[in-house]
Amino acid sequence: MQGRQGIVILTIAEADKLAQWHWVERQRGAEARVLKSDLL
Amino acid sequence: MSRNHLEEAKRAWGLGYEGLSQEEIDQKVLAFTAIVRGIAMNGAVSATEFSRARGLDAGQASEIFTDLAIAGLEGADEKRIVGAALTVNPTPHRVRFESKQLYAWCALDTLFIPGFVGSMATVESRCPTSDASIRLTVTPERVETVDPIGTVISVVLPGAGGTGLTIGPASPT
Repeated sequence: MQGRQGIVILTIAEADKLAQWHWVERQRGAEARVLKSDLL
Repeated sequence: MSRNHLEEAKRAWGLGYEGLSQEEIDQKVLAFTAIVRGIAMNGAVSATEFSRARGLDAGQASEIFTDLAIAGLEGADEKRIVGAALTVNPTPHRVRFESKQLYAWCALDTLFIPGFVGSMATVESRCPTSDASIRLTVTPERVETVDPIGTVISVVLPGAGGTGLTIGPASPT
């Protein structure tokens, strides 16, 4: 990580939402787009 | 905790992708995923395995690994990487997939790694303040169980200059 940093305190539910949104959903979206482009 | 903290965290993490095209974001995310999956399977990922997983030639894979080594990824050189959010080297955050014991760089990593790997994990960590044991069960979709209830995570936010891959030993928790 680079640049300015701050710290926030999240509940597990909030942190789970962040993790799903930032990593897992992006990963699944990327895989779906690659699969779609391969099929075209 | 307030919704503002979650929104602040989402905004900060999203900054790492600003200015990139969807294709560029996808390539970074898929590269990161392939590396994490390789570490989950074999404890490290070689440039050869990575090139196969990503459909790249050896030169392209070696170039990416060299960039990641320069970025400071754990144990990285042009031929292999031993840590990227997930590692075989002990940290305070234990992540177990069935019988395989691995470790996460930070507490937040433990929540998305099962999604990347596609398997449920049991997570064990310790509160940095009270030293109490903290246990979670995390599926690829969500956190299923947490003990003790009321556990919170401190999340270090990347600054405006955060890297696109958002990888690195990040959170102190």
